[in-house]
Amino acid sequence: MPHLNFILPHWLYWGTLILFPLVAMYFVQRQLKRGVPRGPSLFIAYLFWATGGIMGLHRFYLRSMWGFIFVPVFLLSLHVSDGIRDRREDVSRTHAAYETAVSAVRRLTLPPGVSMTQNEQARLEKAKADEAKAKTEADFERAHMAQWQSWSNWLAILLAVMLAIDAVLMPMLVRKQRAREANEAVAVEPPPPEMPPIGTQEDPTMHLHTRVTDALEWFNVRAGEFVAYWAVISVFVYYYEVIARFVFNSPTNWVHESMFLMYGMQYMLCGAYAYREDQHVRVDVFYVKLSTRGRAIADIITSVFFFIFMVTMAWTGTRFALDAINNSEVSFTEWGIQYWPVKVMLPLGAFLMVLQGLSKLIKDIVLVTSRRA
Amino acid sequence: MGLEIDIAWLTVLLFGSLAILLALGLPMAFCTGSLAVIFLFVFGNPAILNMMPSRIFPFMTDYQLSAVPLFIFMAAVLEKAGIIEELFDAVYKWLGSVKGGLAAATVIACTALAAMVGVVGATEVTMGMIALPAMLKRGYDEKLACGALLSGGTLGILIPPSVMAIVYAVVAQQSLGELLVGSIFPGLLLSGLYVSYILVRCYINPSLGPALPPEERVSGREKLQLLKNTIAPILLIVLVLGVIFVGIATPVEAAGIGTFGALFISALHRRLNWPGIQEAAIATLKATAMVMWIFFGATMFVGFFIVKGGQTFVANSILGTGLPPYGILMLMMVILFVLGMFLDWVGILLLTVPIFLPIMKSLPWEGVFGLPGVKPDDVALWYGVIFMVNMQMAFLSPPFGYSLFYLKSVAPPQITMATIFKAAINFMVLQWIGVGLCIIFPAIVVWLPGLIYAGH
Repeated sequence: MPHLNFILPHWLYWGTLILFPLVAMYFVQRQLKRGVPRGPSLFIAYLFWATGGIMGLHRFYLRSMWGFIFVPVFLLSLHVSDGIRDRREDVSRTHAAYETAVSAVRRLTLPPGVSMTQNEQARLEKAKADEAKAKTEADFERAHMAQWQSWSNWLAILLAVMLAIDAVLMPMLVRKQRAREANEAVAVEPPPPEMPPIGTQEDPTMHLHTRVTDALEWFNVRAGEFVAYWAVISVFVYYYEVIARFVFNSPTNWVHESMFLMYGMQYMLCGAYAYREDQHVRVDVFYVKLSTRGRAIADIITSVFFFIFMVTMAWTGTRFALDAINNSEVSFTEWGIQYWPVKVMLPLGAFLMVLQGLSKLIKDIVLVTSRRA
Repeated sequence: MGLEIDIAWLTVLLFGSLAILLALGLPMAFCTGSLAVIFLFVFGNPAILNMMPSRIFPFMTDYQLSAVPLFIFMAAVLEKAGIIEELFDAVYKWLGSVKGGLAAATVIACTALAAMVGVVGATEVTMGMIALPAMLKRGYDEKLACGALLSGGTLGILIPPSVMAIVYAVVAQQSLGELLVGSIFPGLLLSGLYVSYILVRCYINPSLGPALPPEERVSGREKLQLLKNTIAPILLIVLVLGVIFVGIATPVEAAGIGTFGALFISALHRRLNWPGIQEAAIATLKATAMVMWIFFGATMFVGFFIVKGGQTFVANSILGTGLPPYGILMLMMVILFVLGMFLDWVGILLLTVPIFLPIMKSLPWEGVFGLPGVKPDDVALWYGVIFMVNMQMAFLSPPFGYSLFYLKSVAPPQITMATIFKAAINFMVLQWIGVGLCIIFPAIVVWLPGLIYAGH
């Protein structure tokens, strides 16, 4: 198996975080408009070909039993990768032993012209014998490793050929399978489970709209929808890491960091969106028993506390983020990604929360005053 | 401002204002966060407020916590993939000829789903929609039918993958892998308790859960064919749990490839499409936001309380009761149970674990009834699993058990809330037995992790 030495460039990381949600939104809109296609799709088939083709996933997706041909080859290549890991250890172990032996010989060899005692002579002879033995062992292990590597290469070539054939056949396969499935009775999709809101969605202002508040909330809705799609990125990135490590023996140094930073930004930016959808759970003892107006009044009272929290967070967070910006902070890891955008999300998230809180406060006041009138 | 106040009064004031704000309907995340800010300002040094971002930032960028959205996303994808229906269908046809078979099938299907899903919710709602009408139609006792769904549904939070385990691992700084492995036996034990309870009751009184009439039973051949539908879910369970077990990948990576597997299963069922992805992503986002913001608020609240000596105060008060260690543990369990009646598990975990766990660690656990106890190193793991089993009850305990409302929302109208309450009580007794067994026989929890992680 070849090595994967791909290190995600910083520009590609930030670029993906910005572009992927936009692309996803476009496709969502398109499928909502044109209707969701039935049966297998060429895009998904190629997606699984690219990501899990070595396991035959694209074949299984098309319900073709030929996928089972990939499985033993894949398992064999896993085994070989594992073997190479062991061999590599053997090689470095025997190589280290050889180096030790060489330096032992060097230590025992006296400068020319100095005569050796018999004892020294014997020790040198022994060291030389050890060196020769260690060299044979190291050479043997290296040859052994080369053997495994050539098996691995042959397997890689075999898989590559199989994948190339399938890449060409794919449109035909999808067309055939689609025709086959068109004749099957379409299974009725069950309605999605309606989750009853408990401790959530009790906000009396949830369905109230005014022009000002809708404008304020526009940001939060967009921000929330935007960062939601990042979850999809992480699935493929973690999958890449595991495959790279176990099949290609090439662990990465950027996957974990890039993903937890991405999720960190997501947590901050989704707070306001979740608040708008009233997803932050509350205790249901008295609040639900209040009338709509009562709830609005309670909300106005407690909003003071909400703002104390969020304004403090936005304020202290801004200083925190400014420090990072002034230093153009990057992470201390090998990957060295820019850290400051992540830190900026902290005050930004709090700021969006303040916006949402304002919008809610306005709506609460509207609710209280309009009922009185 | 830096006012001085006695810690006892501070405790009363802090938790009193928390209770008032919660009652006024301010979401938990903001109650804890705002009180932390106010109390820090009044009773501490306002300069400390500048520490706020540096306290939140580590949680934002916590590696383990990224498993939370991933496992939630995996559950959201699986819900739409149609495997819940398939699994139940297969299991209940296999168990059709057994008395109480449908109820047992419900619990078994829930157990299998719990091994793929780390939250309580959609599993129960979907199972409720298909299994409850099926059971009622065949004359099952209402309470038994509801009880099977309620208890089976809550297993999602215990059996790995479990979102609660991730949060606990981060708060308690306990190895997540160990915790996930350690909760497998307790999960299976509880599942076994539910199934045996159902079967025993139905064998004593078959009218509670009659076997399927012979004409509805399926042949052995059909049963084998049904197995085909369970291959994909079983492979997924083996993949996720196997990866964690063998330790070839971290739990976070396991979550990643598990979600990839879920996407593939969804594609196999021809349900993978962009609008579906969007729905799953948005649902994940909402659930994640809820957990994480409680994290941000509660961590400051508890941080303030501990800095002010609250932990020592609580420890002294509890130790001052003169109870033996196991008595103290029981007291904690009762406190958790009572909190569970009102609060969400995330809040309970973040508020109590930093306070209770140090007490647990400071006490000797030498075993009861002459049975072997718990080694000091294993206390965090052991307490974590007991805590999770206890928190399952928070989903079942009236008046505000989530599961009760989930079930009510899909139950046919003749099932009243009172029936569901009564159904929950029998199974809560089983749950207490489960807690008791894990306390008395800690090996149920610590044996497997000890075996697997011995060399680490």
